[in-house]
Amino acid sequence: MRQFAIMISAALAIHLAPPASADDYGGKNGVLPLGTQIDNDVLLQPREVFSSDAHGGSKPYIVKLGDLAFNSPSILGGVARQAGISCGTCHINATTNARFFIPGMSSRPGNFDPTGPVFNPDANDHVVDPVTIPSLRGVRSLAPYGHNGRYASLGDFVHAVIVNEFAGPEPSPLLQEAIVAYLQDVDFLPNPRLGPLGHLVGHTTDSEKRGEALFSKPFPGDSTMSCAACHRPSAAFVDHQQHDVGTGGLFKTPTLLDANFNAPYFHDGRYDSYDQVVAYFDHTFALGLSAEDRQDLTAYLTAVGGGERPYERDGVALRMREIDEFDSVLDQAVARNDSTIVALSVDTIGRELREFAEQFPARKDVTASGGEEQRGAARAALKDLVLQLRAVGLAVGEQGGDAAQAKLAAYHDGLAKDVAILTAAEPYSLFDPAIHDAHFAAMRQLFSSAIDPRDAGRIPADRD
Amino acid sequence: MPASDSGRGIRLQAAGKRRAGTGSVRLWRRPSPALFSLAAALCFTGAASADEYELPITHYQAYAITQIDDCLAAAKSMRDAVGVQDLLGAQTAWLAARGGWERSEVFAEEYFPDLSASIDAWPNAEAGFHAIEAKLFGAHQIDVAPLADALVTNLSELRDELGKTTMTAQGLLNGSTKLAYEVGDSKANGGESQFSGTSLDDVRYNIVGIKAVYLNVFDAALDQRNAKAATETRADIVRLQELVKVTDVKKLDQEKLRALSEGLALSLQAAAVDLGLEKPALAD
Repeated sequence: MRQFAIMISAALAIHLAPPASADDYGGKNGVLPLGTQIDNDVLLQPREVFSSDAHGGSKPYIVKLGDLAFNSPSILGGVARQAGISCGTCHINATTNARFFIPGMSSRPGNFDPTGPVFNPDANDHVVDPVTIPSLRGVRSLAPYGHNGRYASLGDFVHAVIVNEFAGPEPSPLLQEAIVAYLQDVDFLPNPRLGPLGHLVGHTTDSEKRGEALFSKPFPGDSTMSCAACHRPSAAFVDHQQHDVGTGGLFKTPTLLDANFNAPYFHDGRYDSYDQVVAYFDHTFALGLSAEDRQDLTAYLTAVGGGERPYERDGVALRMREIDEFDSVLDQAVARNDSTIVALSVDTIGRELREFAEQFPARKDVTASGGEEQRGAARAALKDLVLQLRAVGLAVGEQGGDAAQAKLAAYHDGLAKDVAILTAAEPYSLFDPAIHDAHFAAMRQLFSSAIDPRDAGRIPADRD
Repeated sequence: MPASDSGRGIRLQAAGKRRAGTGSVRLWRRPSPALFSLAAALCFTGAASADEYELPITHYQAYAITQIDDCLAAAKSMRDAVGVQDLLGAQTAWLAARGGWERSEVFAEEYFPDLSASIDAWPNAEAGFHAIEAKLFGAHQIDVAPLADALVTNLSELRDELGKTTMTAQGLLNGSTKLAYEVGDSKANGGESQFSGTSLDDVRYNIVGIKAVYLNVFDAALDQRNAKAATETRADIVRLQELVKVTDVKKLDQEKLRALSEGLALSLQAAAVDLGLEKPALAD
């Protein structure tokens, strides 16, 4: 699922820097620190691949519920909840978020200190030790959990993240189980370059072949060691162990699958490229690699870390698919008169619908031109859906059963009718790259105009 | 400048000295006996009639004009302050103008969409309140003379148009419903007026704007036909006003704000039937 939340239209980096991207936020009076960058406003979204779909099945209720909870700020607490941050904000579609940056919590885009000061003061260890946001694709094969592998169980880890790191209320056993079920259903991207045992198959370049051989070659200084000894090709390129490779402690072996899409690398995100990673190991373990060897290893890693169709274009179709998935949770919750899950669904879907409406520029967005009628109709349709959805939530709370079913039916009817309206407005929306760029260029200009010249000298280099 | 209507008393003299005799506008339910009996006489049968709203709308419109007049006067002060390079004066006047504008959004977007789009343009930095706000409050620069001139021109035009416009019950119900929805938009990034830090005031003024329309134009009529719905709608407004009494936008419960804003919008939509009006659409 695309992460929710935060239709943070803009950032406020008045006193420090112009926003590095137009969706920075953390306003003067905002919930998150000035200069925060969430970067959820990108037109390409990481593609989700589900194990349950792969075999012709469909996702069970528990998986969909977990997906919904994963994207719901209301399962977290304090600042995260206020800011509309959910699990999915950092783990976009259960992957990573390479541009996530919160001053005081990150040392570079893409890393984050879970024991920092912002989200749970009680968890603050007063040491700035940010770690990367790991992709959760294939996470069921990647125990133990946490960069230092301190949790054997994914459920325990999920619990710790919610309660300790993000000051959330104690999750119900059902919700915790659902999030685990969702995460366990998220697969790695298919990679046709790899056979079942993790060997390169099909058309393979000479360089990749040499790289594959080097990958398994014993280290000169210790013949029991090789890259493949820890990154086992037949086991999702992990060994489920923690090792000290000279980076400041014991950290678990990260998978190399999907890694092309998961930079930066190492637990703290110190390296941006495979070249740098290979050079580090060459140096640290005195591997004596030639320049060609390094290139070969990089070629091999690139083949291993690839995947089919890593991204999907954001748009009406994608949004509608997400909403349909979440709606199926709502449907079941209404049928069961489960007011807790109805409330969670209404909050989460409503947030998504409101954010969806903002993709169709309003009249006061004078950067947009054309399709005014279509945009207006799309906004109106989505706003009306928000209200119809709220009516479902109110009916479950106040009237129960039949009344709620009637409201739910009205909501579904509205949604079905809206597809054509939204599709007609899509060419005039922020899903169009040119309109998207014009909108955010205007926003950058606005924020640039808000920079005090006295602070201009303190503007740091662009974080990207 | 306080963002609530408290301190202004229960009754707000809409016309004041300038427009003596045009009546008073309630900001809370304390029915003027004359108004009440007139409304009762007109709608006791439950039948909807356009005339029923005529007098309340006349009163409301007089109040609306005072809001725009206040806003325009403040915008002119801002322009003058800009002319003499008085940053603090310009900021103060901007805040004053903003209050009148936020109370006027309830009708402005409905009746004057193009002018409203220019006056409140976002995110374009070349027009309107927010472009000026970025300069005055973000950059602490006062080089906004052309922007201030344009704002005054647009507000003057809107003021002229307002004098020539006859508001309708349908238009005001539409505007109130849309604004009730907008009140629920996320303020997590600091809200609409991020540079001045007055987003919470924006919301409070919006609610005051909705309340002024509801109490003066619709409450008596709805109370006659569906007392429960009227009680609920008034309660929705009170709950919203209570919620936004927090001191800091960071302390504002965003989820609850959204739920209450949507609840109020639903109440206003539902009231349309009793009020003999069409269900308000949410088009911009």
